[in-house]
Amino acid sequence: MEGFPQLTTWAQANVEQAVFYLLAVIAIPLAYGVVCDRNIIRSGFLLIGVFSTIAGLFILLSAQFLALAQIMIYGVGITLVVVIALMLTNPKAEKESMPALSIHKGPAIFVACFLFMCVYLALRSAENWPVKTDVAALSAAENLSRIGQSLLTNYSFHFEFASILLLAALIGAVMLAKAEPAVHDLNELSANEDKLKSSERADDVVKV
Amino acid sequence: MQSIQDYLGAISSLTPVICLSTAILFTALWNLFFPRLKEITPIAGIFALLFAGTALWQQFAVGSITLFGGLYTVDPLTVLFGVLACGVGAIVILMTMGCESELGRNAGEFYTLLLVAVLAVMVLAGTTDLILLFIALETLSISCVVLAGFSKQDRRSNEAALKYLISTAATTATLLYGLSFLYGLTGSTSYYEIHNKIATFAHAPSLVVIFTMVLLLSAVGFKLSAVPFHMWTPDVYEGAPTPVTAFLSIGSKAGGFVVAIRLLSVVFASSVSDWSFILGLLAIASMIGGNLIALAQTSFKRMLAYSSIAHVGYILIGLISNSLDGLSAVSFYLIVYGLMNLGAFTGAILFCNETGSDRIDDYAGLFKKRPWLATGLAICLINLAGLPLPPAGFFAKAFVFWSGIQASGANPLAWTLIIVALLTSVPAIYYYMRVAIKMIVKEPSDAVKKLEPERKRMVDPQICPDVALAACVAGIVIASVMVNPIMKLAKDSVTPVTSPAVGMLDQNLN
Repeated sequence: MEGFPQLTTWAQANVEQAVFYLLAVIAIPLAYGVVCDRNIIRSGFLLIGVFSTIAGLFILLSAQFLALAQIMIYGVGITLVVVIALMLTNPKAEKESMPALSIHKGPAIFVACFLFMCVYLALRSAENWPVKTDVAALSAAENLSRIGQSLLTNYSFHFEFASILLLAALIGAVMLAKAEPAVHDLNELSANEDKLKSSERADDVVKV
Repeated sequence: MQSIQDYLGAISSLTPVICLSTAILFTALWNLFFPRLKEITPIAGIFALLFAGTALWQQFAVGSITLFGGLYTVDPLTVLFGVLACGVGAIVILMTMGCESELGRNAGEFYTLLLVAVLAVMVLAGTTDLILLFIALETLSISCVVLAGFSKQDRRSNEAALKYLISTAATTATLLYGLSFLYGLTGSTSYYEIHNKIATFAHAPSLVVIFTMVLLLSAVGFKLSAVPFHMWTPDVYEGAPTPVTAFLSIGSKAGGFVVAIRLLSVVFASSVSDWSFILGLLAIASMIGGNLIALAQTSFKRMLAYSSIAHVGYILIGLISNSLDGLSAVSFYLIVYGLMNLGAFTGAILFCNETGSDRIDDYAGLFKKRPWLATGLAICLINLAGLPLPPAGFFAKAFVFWSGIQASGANPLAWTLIIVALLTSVPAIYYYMRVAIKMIVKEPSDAVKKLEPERKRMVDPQICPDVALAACVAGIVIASVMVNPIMKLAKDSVTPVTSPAVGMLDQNLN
């Protein structure tokens, strides 16, 4: 009986490791597929799989809120928007004109290996990655309330400033996407405007 | 950050930010409700910028205040770069009022996005937190992307926006990757805490710190358009509407520099020798690349774009020397460079409004038809070249070079940097003076010959770029006369981030 708690810790660590490798084995080929698939809609769907496995990793780290947010925002929200946008713009027509992989494979593989070496060496060189042990004890509700509290205290400015970022993105997107007459049409319109001396009518014409 | 007093204190320290945010909402909504009074929008923008600048200025004497538990800092550095951003914003709005026709029917949104970009630079100057750094950088990038693509009918403007968007997305990814390493190493997002954590590492700059630094420097280098990361610059500068180019060349660069100053001298203070070497290589490449390519340009805007890359190289010398003198030289250079560069772009707008041309050869003989424009533009160009007439541009270069020489003991690259800087200043003098001499001495080109003797002022806002050019020239003259007070200001502003302040950082942690 005395060895029992140790046994469970041991088992827990092993299960965690096993689940981690399982998720990694699923995530890496999916991610590879996202990059390499020639059909862009298919790679959009593969992206959902990648995001879901990443959510699994978050659960392993006892970040339940992040895991759910990952699924709701990335796995469902953003990816579906991407896929729907792709369906609406009909990428089939583009598919024919897509050039064969224009990057030379040799240099690409070399660069990839070099970068991998850099990341690997950098990761191994750090002697003291801090590991938080107390966080694992937090329940999901505590986790959430901590996030909420920091969003309204220290991170309140970040929270508000993010709304300015979204506002700018929204204004920009609407501005770029809305249909407008070409500039020379506008000039003609303003000439008409002078003749008619009524700006309301010109506005109506523009809306058409 | 618990009691209500903390919030009230934070709100009063953030008055300039709140003021600009209000102006953003105002400019976004005004045209919707009062389309007939749309002339008010830019004027309101200018007033908001002036008000925000004044409110910031009053915080200069207050010293350093940290808000939100060390996540945002209001110190003289924040104030100086915030005021610089406000000034740049106001001049760019003046420039824009002269070429609103380029923007089609969306002029109101243009001012909104411009104010967002200014606000982002202001927040970048104050942020001492990785998350806020990311949000502010993204805000700056997104608003700049949309601004670059504002002439929707112009294919080159569309190309500029798309190129900027894609390259900015790539650098955002590197930045985030680097930030995630920093957080993983230290378990904190506050600059001060990261600084203290990294200082405790046994073998000071381990490989992972350098790796993180390289990732962050590549993101900052992109904003600065230093040489390996400059690919987007010429096309974006040429394609974007000219006022946007002016803003990109100084506004977003000032943001990049203030981030670099804070990151390098606070977060990575313990690995000075590594980052000064990396930045040294970037500076050499930028000075050589920027100046040599600028020589071959025939388009005025493109020439200014490449030469701005070269100027980043010069400014980096001050940053590399990592001393009080060096960093204050950086601030001084940015102020003066901002004025002369904005002046040059305003000249380009005024010329383009009348002739529709951007070719350097077309500027020949401008003095005979438009003596004031030619004189103002020539003063800006002479200063950009670093010639002492008036000496603001000369002093800016001299301070930077001097700080580089002083740092030669600590930095093996220092003498190489100075020699490269001096050598590359020669082509710079040539390509700037070529335009100035053409304007004043040469016979008028065909485009200039066609100009009316008196400029016809189509609409009233046409006069605004003249005001902007006059303001820039006046600023250059003032900076030349008052070198000492401005330099003292610059010194005061960077004192909090230079080495003696590390003790102060510990206090901030509570």
